[in-house]
Amino acid sequence: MKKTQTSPLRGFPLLFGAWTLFALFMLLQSYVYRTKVGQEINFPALLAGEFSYAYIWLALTPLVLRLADRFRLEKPSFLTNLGIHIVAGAVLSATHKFASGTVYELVRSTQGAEFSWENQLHGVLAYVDYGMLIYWVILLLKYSRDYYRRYRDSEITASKLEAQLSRAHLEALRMQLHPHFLFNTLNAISVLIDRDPEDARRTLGRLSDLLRLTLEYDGVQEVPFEREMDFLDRYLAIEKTRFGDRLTVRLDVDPDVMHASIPAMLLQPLVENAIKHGINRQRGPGIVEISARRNDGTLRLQVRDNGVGLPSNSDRKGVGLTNTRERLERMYGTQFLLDVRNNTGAGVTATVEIPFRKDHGVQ
Amino acid sequence: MKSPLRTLIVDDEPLAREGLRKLLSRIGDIEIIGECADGVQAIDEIRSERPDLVFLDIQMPEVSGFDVIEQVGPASMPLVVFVTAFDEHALRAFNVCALDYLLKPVDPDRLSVSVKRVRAYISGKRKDEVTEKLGRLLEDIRDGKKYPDRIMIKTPGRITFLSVGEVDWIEAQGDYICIHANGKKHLIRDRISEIEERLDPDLFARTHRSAIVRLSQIKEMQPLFSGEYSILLFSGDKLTLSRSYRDRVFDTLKQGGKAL
Repeated sequence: MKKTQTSPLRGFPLLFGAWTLFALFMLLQSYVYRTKVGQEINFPALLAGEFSYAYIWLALTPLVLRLADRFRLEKPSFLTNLGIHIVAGAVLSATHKFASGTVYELVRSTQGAEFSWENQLHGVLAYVDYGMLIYWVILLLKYSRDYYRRYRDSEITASKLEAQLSRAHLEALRMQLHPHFLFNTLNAISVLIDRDPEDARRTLGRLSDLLRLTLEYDGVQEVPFEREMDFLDRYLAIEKTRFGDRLTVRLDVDPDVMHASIPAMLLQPLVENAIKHGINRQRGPGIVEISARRNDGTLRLQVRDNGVGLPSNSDRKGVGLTNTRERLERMYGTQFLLDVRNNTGAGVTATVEIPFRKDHGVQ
Repeated sequence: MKSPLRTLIVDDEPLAREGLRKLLSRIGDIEIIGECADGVQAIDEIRSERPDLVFLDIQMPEVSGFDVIEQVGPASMPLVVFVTAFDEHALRAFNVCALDYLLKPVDPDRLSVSVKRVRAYISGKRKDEVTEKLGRLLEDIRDGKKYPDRIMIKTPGRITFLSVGEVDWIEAQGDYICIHANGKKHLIRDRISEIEERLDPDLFARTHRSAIVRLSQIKEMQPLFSGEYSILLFSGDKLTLSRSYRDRVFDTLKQGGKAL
């Protein structure tokens, strides 16, 4: 719809062709009809009548299209807009009939017939319903084209979403199967075997869970927050084992949020960033705070660290979050917020806000 | 009687350090003189403690194991055994330069082989060989460049890197050096002779016991009495070219006319 508004003349050849065809068809119909009935055929008047009929509609079509866009027959204002279109259809139809009738009468008057306002009024009243029908046909053609486009766009969006998700998925997979993460965790476990066999077993179990969760992941776009949290818990536990006292994690999750639906694999990259860029950089204990709150219709997720923060010259949007941003854009249009910025004290806060929706999926 | 190997362990993960420490204690004749949790600490410790051997983790945040070698300089580096979880790029470089490395999780048998090799290098006095290998490694990592293109600047709570291309001149100030770059001054703890090693001699020259100058920054040179010269830089700073460095500077200027 935006596309058609950018260049008003783009659709003109098509409209012109359509209305010319319409005129020719009507002409043929009148000709056949009148020959059959045995009526005399007044060619100039017939030509003038049919073509003026079609081309005045041609001139009115952009207006009809504009009205169709402005007053869409969709919830929530379906009834109001229906009323508007009934009235607009009647007014336009009457205007049209009046104009085309005038042309017809003028042509006839050049042939000696008397110009009659009464005939005109009569014509308008007699044919207004037919004009309204045409108005509605234009409206419906326009809407069906819009729906087709929207359907096609949504197909494209869906396939892009899928590609992005699989990329996010792949990234998450790479994180767990990331040789660096994997071998460092295995190294940590090999040290724990000596010192604390119980802890070694626990860590090994968590690593296995992470790998299993990733391998089992079925590619759905949205998951309950709970499930994402499950995943994070294990990831964080392993990182805590690896980094010991240097990493403290604080969770602050609204119980209400547990069943909210969120994009799959949304939090993990944010948390990974917080640990990697925030905590590791800082010498001394690092803190990662993850909070999830509901604010009426909005779900607000925050990941906060106390590292040294983003370099002042870096892009505040955050490198590596492009993929996340694009995904959110496709899923929520403009209804989301993704913000990464330095805290006033130390470190970085990443904030995501998306519409709060309860997950109805069966677990 | 061989003296124990004075050894430093560098890894950002406490468990990894603990593991190495434990395994090394079983080998014996090794004295662990310290553990470092990051590259900055490692640079300081290596400079001040001069260990015989460093176990150096490659992938550490911000200042990597390679940065440590670059900042300390291959010649001042002790013998190094690299430790890495997985890094194809690094492994390829180690193999190319025939340098010793350990993979995580660390295999105790493999570790004792590494320690034996280190002892062989030390008793065979083949340290120069290793220095050369480290130099090649850095070149390889830097895609063929012989000298680092950045200098690490440490300020409290933050580490930044200064591009060597911005450096105009450097002066020694006690235990520190002051780097003049683009009209700004950066004070770092380093020795002027050590930073001199890390700068391309075609571009920089020592002009004084306490100064290094980018040759292309020299605007004027005026002879003073006693064979010294006064150097005026484009930045407006005035320095002295002392007699002991005079000939070398003139040589470089003559050969390196292209660099100007």
